[in-house]
Amino acid sequence: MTEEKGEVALFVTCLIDNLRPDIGFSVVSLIEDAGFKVIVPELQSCCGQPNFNGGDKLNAQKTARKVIDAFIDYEYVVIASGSCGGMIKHHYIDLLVDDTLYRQKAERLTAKVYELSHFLCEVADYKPVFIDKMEVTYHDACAGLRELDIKNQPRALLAQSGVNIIEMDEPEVCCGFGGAFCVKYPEISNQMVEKKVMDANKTDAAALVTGDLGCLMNMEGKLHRLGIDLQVFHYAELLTRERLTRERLT
Amino acid sequence: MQVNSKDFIPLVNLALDNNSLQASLGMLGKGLSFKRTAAVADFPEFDQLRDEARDIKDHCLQYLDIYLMKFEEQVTNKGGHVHWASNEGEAREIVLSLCQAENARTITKSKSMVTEEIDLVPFLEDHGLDAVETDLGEYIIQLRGERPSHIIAPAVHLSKSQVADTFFDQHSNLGFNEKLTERVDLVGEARQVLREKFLGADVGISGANFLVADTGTIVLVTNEGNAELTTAIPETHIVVTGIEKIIPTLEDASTFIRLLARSAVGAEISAYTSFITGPRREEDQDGPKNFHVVLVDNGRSEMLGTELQDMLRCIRCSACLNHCPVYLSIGGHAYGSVYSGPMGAVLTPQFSRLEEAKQLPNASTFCGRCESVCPVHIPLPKLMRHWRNKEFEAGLNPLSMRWGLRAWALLNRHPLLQHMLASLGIRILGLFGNKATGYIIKLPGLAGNWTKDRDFRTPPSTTFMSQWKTMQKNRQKKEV
Amino acid sequence: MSRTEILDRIRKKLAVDSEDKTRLQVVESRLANHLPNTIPSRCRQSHSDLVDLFQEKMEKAHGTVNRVNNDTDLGGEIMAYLGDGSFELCINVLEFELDFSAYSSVQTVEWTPRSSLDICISDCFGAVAETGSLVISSSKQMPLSFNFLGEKHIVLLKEDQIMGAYEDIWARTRNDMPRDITLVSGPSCTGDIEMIMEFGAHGPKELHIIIIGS
Repeated sequence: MTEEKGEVALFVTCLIDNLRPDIGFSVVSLIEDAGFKVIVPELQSCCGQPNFNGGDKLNAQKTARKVIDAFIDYEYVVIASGSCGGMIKHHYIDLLVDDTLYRQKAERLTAKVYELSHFLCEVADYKPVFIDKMEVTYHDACAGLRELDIKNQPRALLAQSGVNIIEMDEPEVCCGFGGAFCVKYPEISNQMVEKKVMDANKTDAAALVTGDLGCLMNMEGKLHRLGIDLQVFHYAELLTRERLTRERLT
Repeated sequence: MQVNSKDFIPLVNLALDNNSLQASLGMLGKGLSFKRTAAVADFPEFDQLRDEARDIKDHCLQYLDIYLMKFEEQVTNKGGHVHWASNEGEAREIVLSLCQAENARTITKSKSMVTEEIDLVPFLEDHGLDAVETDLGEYIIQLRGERPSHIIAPAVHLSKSQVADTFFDQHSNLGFNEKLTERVDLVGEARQVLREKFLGADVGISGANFLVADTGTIVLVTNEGNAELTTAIPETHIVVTGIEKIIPTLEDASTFIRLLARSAVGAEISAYTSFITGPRREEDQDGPKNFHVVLVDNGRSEMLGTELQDMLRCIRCSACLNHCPVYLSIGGHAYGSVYSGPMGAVLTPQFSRLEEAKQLPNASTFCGRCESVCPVHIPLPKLMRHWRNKEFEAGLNPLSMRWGLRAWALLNRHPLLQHMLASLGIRILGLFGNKATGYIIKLPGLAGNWTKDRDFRTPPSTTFMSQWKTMQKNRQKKEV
Repeated sequence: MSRTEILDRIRKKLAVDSEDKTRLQVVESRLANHLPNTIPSRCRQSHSDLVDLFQEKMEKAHGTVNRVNNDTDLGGEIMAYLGDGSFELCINVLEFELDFSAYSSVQTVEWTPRSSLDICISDCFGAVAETGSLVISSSKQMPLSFNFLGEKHIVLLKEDQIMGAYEDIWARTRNDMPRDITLVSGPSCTGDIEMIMEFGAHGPKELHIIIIGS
């Protein structure tokens, strides 16, 4: 391995950790490929978003303090989710506004928190090698798009690896996941996700790609229920598709 | 404000099953967001004006008492009268007594959300007055006995043929006996019916888009011209409006005019924008002799100095409704309030009660599209979250949710225990999976709401954290 | 009394003092200065470009525009717009002489309050190029409703009446605001049935502007 450019603490996220660990390993291999050493702090938990959005502000603050303590000493913190990334980078300071000590810590932390594609493009200056040609459509996950300005970064990375993006109608409209929203208001959520996957499917792309696990599982689950053969990937998986194929073969 | 937001869930189900409503919402969503995007692209100063508009409103709110008094002084100097209503009941009584003082029988009304908020028209009708809505959309829903389903397109939930049926039912006594099929003919018939009303009205009631403190001017924006006919013909003009509509100067009004129609419908400006200053002058040939402005508080001042203060910047453009995927799925009536969409989810609990309206701020994915299009940068998701906090503090949400959130937070403070339980949890979850397909098709409890309409990919049997730990151990062994 | 109650509540929630004179000064100086905010760059170009911009924007808003070099035959221009047929014209024009003696099918009628009209012809206070808006103002000569009660409205506008931005109106009116100033940007329209635009909701179905060169 060439000399490392620095150390990255990976905030794994609950959904990747528990439901799609393979995506976590794709993320690790991308960061390593970009020349950084990956550290996975053991004392990490959820970012606190369920409590924050559920109105349980007090517990959201408690969780935020724990996350801050677990990550504050690292050089970079990378998160392969716009939603958890937005929670930490966009909301922590506001959430802890009345706690002088932790607000200051939150300011220090948020300055080094990056959504994965943002980190790869703008910090690591990572240039993926060409893998193979592929046509996909991309759903812009809401929090990444509107809280962290994630729009062109994953598209640029995918393009360099040979992926051509066929834009669907309204790629920036929410898929209907919304955390607890999808089980609190399943009927509305269902209508939203149905519209989303239909729009995606209309593109005739080979896959539907996004950057957030919630959206991914929501769209994937709907497509499977509808019997539509359109696979859904995290962009990190696609950027490591060579590795995935290799591992599957060996 | 009359609210039936407690029925949110059944109203949502009705809306989702209503094919004609779904067709209307489809057109609304696609059409207006496309037009807005084009209008913004054609106007390089747009974002700069948004920032300025936010700052103007923030400034006004900070000095609201003084601006309102300045406005009052100017209106009075010009021969008009300003009335103050602390709540909706007072506002209704003031309007009624002004109408009665003029022995009014017939009233024309141009569109105003404040009058919807205070349920003014039914109240005037109950007191024997003939009050007719003149905005076409408002007129249609008045004939149908409905409430607006959108703050600027009140009849957007209806199809052309539903409007035709309504006119056929309600206009036959006026000599219109033909069932119309063309939109242009429907508009023409309403024009004829309402023209008579305009020409004969004793009192005109309007809202106001903006109140200009410097000159005592009220600004009214319409496409139809109904506000001008409402305000120029009758002997008495009554403006019913919220205290937050105040802006300092005509220059500031210009900034808001540039934002309003672009944000609302993607037009550069509406067909008519009227700046009305006081009653008719001695030399004038028309215009009202009596000019009254009723300033309505009704819960607004309570929002000052709180997180909700930002909501008082709202100019009622409807961009947040037009871009809200939840609104575009269920329409306005499901909200059970005249204020719907994201702005309605913030205002309704304030203007009614949180117990009544608590579903509304919860029914959002926090996708943030509303905030991204708001011409005055209102942080709508944050304000919906404000109500969720209030709900939690007051113990209004279900116990299962409260304890669930608390338990989750407790685990967050003990990550190692959380990782252990998660490893167990995914194995249990795995038991529900179908080995052949790799998906779970039915889950119990709340998770069943997921599998009602979606499958769930069966998770692998080990978590990332435990796999990572094993890898690290193996690596260390190798190194040793 | 509700006035005091509301004002007190506002001050209490804002945590401010009614006796605080500096707050009053802030407001008074802002009103006295009435500074413009950002004015779109399109409003500040050569006058001939502004005339073109006015026409472009008015046509985009579904008004029709005809430009003539002088006022010698405005009657003829109006009749050319109206086409064949017999018409009742209600004329409220101060700046120009209109001659319809050559047209036997034309009748002129007087304006009376609270009555509908066929063809209304007027001049106006001015126009603003930035959105192609006519500026109509109520005055001794001009009842506001005149502009709204016709089926068709024809407006005579001199080129040099065209201003760039809305702010240019206020520079001329602020100290003596007429009862009503209305920006008219196209004919009356409504999208209230199925979001599709129809013209002639309550005001004129057609709006035609004749711009007279100087």
